[in-house]
Amino acid sequence: MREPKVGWEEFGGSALSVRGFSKHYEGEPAVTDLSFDVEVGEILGLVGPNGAGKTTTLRSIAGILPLREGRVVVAGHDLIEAEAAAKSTLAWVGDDPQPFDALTVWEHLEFTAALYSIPSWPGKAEELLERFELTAKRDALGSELSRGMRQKLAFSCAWLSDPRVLLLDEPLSGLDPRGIRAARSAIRALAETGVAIILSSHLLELIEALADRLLIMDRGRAVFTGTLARARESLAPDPGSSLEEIFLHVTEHPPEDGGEG
Amino acid sequence: MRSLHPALATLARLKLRAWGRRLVRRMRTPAGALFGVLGLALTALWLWSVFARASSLSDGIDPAQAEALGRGALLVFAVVVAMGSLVHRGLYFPPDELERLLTAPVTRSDLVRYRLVGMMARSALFGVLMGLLVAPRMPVPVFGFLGAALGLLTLPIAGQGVAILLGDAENRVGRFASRLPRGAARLVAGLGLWGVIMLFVMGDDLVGSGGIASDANPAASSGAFLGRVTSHPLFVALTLPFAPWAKAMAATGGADFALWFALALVLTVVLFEGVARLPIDFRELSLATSADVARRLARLRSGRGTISGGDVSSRALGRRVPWIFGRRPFGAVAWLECCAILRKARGTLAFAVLVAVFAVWISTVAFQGTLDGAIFLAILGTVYLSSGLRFDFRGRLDQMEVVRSWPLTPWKVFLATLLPETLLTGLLVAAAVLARSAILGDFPLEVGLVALACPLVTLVWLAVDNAVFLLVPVRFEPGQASAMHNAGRTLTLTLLRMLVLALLIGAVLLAAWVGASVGGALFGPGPAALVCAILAGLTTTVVVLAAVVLWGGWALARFDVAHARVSA
Repeated sequence: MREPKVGWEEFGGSALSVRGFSKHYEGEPAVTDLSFDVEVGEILGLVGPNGAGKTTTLRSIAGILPLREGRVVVAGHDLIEAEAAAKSTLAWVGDDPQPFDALTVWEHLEFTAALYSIPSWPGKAEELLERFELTAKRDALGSELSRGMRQKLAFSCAWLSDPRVLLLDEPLSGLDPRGIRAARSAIRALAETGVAIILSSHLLELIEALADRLLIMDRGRAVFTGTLARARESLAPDPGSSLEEIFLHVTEHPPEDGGEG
Repeated sequence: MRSLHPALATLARLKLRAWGRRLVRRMRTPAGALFGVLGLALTALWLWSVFARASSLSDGIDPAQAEALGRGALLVFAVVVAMGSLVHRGLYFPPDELERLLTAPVTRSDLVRYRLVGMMARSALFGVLMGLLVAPRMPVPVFGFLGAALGLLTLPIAGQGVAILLGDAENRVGRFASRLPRGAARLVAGLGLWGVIMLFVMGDDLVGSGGIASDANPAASSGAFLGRVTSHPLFVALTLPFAPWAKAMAATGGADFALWFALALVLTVVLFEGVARLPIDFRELSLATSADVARRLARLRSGRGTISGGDVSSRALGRRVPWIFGRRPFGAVAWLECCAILRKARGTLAFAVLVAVFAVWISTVAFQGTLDGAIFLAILGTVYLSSGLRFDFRGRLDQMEVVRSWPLTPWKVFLATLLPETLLTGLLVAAAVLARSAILGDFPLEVGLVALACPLVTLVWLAVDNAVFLLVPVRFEPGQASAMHNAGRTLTLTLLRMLVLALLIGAVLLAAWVGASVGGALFGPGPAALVCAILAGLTTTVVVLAAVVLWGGWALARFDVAHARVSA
């Protein structure tokens, strides 16, 4: 049974809190001593070059990878001590979602509603199919969906689960321009309802447009955390630099203080 | 014969080196080394049993019979290769080669040569093994080995030629029209293979020359029977193309062997060059065939066999799958597996019922004792069904990221995933056990207990398999490079499951015995002692099952998606 949602104030305002998180793969550090918070209704843009540790971080927060070092608190639930409760408030969309090939699109939503104990779900599911342009694919099997459709289905399932925290890892890959526009507007609208979102993407223009704050990672470490304005102030090579210019500058010349902004 | 294009020769050399590197790397991990050694031991044991059986063959091997055996064996392999060619037409390229090689500045003949060399290299190990198998049955084992090995290197070349020619036919007559002859050809090939086997097994009846063996001299009669089959005009006509290889295999002298082996070698080279120079554009079919093969291999690598990874039938899709475990999160996970079973394995389930009926019949005929037959049936059914139906974590490797993010405690996810397959297998096997007793008209208490235990045994069997899979998540790698490891892993898992099962059954029986003893001491012998024994046995069963499920949950909680990918 899903635990009743607690008020935001009960966990100090932060929807997600990560402290001292580290992860190693066969002795090699993938993420080192990472700490950050995501506030209610905030979109945190997670950027970094390939191998920076972004996906490892998101997967660990989602409970996909075992958490061995550090602490993650999701909507007031400790990921280690109350894993199921923490996961019930989380939704995760990976870069290449793999739907269940024996279920139709509608049945994926039915399954998600049961898994997250969502009452009166059919109406909301219909809306989501409409929003993500999946109505025509309602009875299509998971194995029959194109990459973009799989992505849209993953969005629909994540939105249906009524999350407190949403983790998006390269969510727009595979989407057509119309799908990208729908996804961007849906992400923004979800944040406005109070959902905390981490958005990891190499599309810096997307991050610039949506993110309230930035977390720039490089080689497993946070090299900057703060708003884009603060990044421009403290890190930009020139006033009015784009995020791309800041990103390139900060990953080539990482600040010594870890870039707390 | 033209040599391989230098760039493609380099690629072949690098891929061979990569194959060796992968093998060594796999052997360096503890699990890889263990499974590799076990697989090697299993192969050695098999070869030893082959030679041990061969050494008991009579010394005087008739060259004519040996040649006929060689011809027949090559015919059977040729039919198998031809059936493969019917499925995969054109020229197959693995995904990493497909677009790179089709766009490379090399001729199509070069590409065919490259693929043929690769196919021959892959067939070499099989050729060596079959050569070793055939050698003791030939007059001069060395000649037998060389002839068989060359024959098995030649057959894939012929198969590739057939695949390219059929692909060209498909291009010419159109996709729709080609489907009809494809189905018909597969049917004819299947019937042909069946016919050859039946010719060997029931030859006398088919030839129409009386019984297989006379009571007076069965061996002589069998020899005469084999002689009649191999001299039959149909057999001679069908196996004529394989004569040079078979004559080389059955040669009794060096000169005889040199002549036929040289002819076979020349024919192999001519065939190789002929296939390479076929003036056919196979590119479109290569794209389709390669995508199809890649999809099948991906299914195998993700742990899904042909059944659990198969397509969903459109008829099955029309029906709602009931939520028999409720609409809570636990029930949702179980429902997911129910959907997969009911929509993908309908044909398999029908086949399983047929097999169960057959197994009931066999166990009824073969076993006089009611309990022996029931136990045989239970073990056979559980092993067969649980290895055939893979609707659990073994088939969800590609979706483990999603599974790990589900908001349930790991042991619940573990149990809910295994429950549908456990109940299906367990209840089917239990039904077979009870059906057998009904046929025999004998219902002892022990048979009822065996039937009751079936779902529980299935749960333990599947739980151990899945827990080990989650702890050591290795993707299935098709091909010879992984054959040893796959065989070793299967052997290890089977032994482990049997050991765990034996320990758990021992624990339950011990508890029941202790219960009976304590009950007998407290209340005296009689029903009270029996009740104590049953209670102790049941309690231990519940504890044991709970421990197995919790262990599985622990394995799921420890499961590292990243590690599974690295292992791949």
